[in-house]
Amino acid sequence: MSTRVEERERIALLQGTLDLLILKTLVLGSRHGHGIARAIEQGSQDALLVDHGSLYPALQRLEDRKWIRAKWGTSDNNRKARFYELTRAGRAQLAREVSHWHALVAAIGSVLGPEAGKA
Amino acid sequence: MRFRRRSQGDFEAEVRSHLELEAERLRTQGMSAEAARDAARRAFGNVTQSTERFYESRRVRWLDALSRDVRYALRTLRKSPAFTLTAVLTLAFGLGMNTAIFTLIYGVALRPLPVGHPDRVVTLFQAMRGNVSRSVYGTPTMISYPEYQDYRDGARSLAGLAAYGEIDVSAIGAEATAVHGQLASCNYFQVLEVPLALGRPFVAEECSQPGASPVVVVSQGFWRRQLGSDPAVLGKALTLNGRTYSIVGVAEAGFGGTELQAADFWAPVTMQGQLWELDWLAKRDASWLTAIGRLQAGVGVKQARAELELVARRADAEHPGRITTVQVNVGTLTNNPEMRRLGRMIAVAALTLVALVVLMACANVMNLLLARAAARRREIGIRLALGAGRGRLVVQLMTESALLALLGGGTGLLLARWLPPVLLRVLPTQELTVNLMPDLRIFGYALLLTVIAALGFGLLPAWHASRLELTAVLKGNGVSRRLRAPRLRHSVVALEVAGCLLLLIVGGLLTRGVVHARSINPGYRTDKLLVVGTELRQAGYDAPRAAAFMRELSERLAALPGVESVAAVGMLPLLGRRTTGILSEGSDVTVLWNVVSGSYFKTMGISLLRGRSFRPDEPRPGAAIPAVVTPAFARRFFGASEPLGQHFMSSTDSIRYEVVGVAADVRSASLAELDGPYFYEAANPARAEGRLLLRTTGDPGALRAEVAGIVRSLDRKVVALVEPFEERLALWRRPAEVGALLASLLGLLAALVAVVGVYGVVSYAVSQRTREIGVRVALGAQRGDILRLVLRQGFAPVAIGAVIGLALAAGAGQVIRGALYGVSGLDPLAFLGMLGLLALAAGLAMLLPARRAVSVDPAVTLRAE
Repeated sequence: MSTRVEERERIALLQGTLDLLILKTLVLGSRHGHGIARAIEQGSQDALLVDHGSLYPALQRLEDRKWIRAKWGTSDNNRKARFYELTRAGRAQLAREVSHWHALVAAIGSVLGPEAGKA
Repeated sequence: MRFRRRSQGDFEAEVRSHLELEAERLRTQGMSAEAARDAARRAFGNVTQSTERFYESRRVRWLDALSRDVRYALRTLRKSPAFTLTAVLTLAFGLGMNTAIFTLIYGVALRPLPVGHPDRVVTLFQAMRGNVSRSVYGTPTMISYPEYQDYRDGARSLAGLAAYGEIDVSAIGAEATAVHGQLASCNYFQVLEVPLALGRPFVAEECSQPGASPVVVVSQGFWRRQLGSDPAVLGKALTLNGRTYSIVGVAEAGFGGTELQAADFWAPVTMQGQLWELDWLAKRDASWLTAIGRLQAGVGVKQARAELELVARRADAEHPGRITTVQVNVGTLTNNPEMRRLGRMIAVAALTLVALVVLMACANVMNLLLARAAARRREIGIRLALGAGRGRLVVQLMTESALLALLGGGTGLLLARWLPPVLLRVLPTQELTVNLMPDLRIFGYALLLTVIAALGFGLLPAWHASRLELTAVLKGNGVSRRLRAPRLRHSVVALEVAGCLLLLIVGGLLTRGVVHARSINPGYRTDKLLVVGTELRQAGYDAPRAAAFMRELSERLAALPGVESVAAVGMLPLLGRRTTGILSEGSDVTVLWNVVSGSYFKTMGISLLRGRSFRPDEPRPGAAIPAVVTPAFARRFFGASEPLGQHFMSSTDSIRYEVVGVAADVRSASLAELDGPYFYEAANPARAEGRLLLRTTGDPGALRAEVAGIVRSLDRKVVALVEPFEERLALWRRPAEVGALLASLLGLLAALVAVVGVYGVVSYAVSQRTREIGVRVALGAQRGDILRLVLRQGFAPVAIGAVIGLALAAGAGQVIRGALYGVSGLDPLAFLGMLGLLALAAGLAMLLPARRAVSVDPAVTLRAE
């Protein structure tokens, strides 16, 4: 199997969407950073690629804004890891960003028109 | 740095944990341990960078950014040494001048006294209203010895109260010299907590009996200069005003009393009668002592004042109709209320002037910065494009300004350290106690000024610089349409030119006035004149005795070899004037007048045009008082008719005068113009002022001692003031001369600042238009064309500034007309001369960058872009 080909088919994240996705993955409970990255990638059937290097600054940013909070814990396979969970403000922010995203997609979609025959 | 909530180690641990988790995941997919670790690391990207980004987001950002900004700014400044040097020097001038003046003012009027615990030392003066009649030596706010004793004994809020009066005496130590000293109460050194270098201070017994204790404490300076630093000086004799005093102490180095003029010695206040030959010690209604006291711990100035007022109230009770207010202030070198008032006026004027200089220096550097910001448009544009926030950029540019200001302020401190002593030396001649060493307050002042300056000249350029149209800049040579800096720059230069021209012309006018004053013929001769003043009334003389004394003195002096003539005079020309009302056809006209003896006209060299002068036996009782009038007077009151024999009457005291002569019009009220209507009254013994004028054949100063000796031989109690008239005039001229010097000096400095400003504008324009000039040269423009192009850049602001400056100076010329001695407030020499000087300097400032423009090589410049 060639990872190279696989990676080329992946889509880089649009700027600004990483925050949204992080918040989304935390809806179902706390995760550590690695878990968040995996969750995003798996959730998109590996179509999205999370740059691990920018993940942690993003987490830090969200933490600073009090949308998520973190504490150290132990992972499933018994490793120490920093676990993040949504705050109340984070949930509200997620709701705002989701609706904003849908509005954006709808708007862009209507500009682009129906997906005509995959030309 | 424990400000952050989360440590860097914590973050690194998290990244490590991530890498392990990822590696483990990859291993479960079948990778080797090592390959999995590498892959995890690759997927993470640059670990260091990530931790750094965390670091960025968490650190105390401003401190970090500040140190980076400072380093960056230092690098930038080092890269353009010419700019940095110009800016720093300009600021050093402005800030240094200002701090220098502040140092002077601080040293003279604000600095704590050089005594123990100066914050608790207060001075006491009294202001009297109502029915007051006092003898004054010094200022009327001073107190007498009995009053001092009352205050001292009646004030429980003071730990001690001392008093001193200043005197000038002749001392004979190694040689005879004029020395300045103080008559001090015997607790003087104890109250001020000033230790002595040698010997002992006075003791209370030495002040118990008038004239009984001829002891003296000398200053360290006097001890060095006059007593050869003799370590065994205690007990030795010092002759003061002909009497022997025993030296009991030598004051500490640096202590010269609490007045501006340093004291050479202190003698017990009870020796007053011996040193003055006029005993005021017991005199209650006299002002000659300054009281200085020490507050009790925990007592405020207000409380002390309230208590001292009670003492004054008790004294007032014995003087119906008199109201005394006590003034208590924390002591400085200028304690006297009169001096404080005068000092405040001078200080405000001086500070306003130097504030103007700082303003111009700031405008100048702002100007340079604006030019530079424009030249750095590309750099700033790129930084903006790379995502630098505008705020960050402004902070960064402000850091540069702050650095410049600090460098300038620091360099300025050197000027502030050097200039004040020089200025002080220019002003008075005596030894002064003023301490000009910078202290925390002076540094604080300088720093505050520096910060204000940095904000003043830095904010606007930074604001402008960061307001760029990105696309235009990055596209190449694009000039932002919004950048209105050129107009601003030009107005700054115009302002500088206007300011410096104003100062230069004012300085020029004052100088012209001073020079002109020397060349004016006032109508009388001021050289070879000796003024002899006596204080007869204070010596207890009544009118007949005074008249007899003056007659005798005049005869003795007239017989002196080297004396041509002697005249009695009331007011000295230029140094005083008096007016009275004359009744004329029912109206009351104010005229100048003087009381003189018949020999006055001969002594002063004033020509008698008609009639005669007064005879020695005039005025005769019962007859009208003879008067000599001036042609202006005759015209005013008698019109075309013959003035001789006319009568007129004063409205103030109803004295009838008869005109016996007409003397030429002179300039006695002001050098600027001839006096208006003026008359001389024949010296009346009852109106005798006790002042004589001597016309000498040689140097009048040479007769000083002899004349004083004759006065003493007539009556030892009479104090005589003997002085050449020219010396008095020199003192009278000094304010104008110092003003001229100061305004010219400041003007020259301001001109320097303006020249730098002009240079900045033109050289900026040249650097901006190098490409254009290159193109023009390539297209065949001649050197002359390029020169004109460049000079046009600087010409407009200079011309506008010059016009404004000329207009302001014309206004100022009217304001200071009184100090110009008749030189026109629009004196063409001062105006055109200074304008020419400025034009020359501005031309030179433009020529330098212009030469650079002319030497532009099109091949090089066009490629460079």
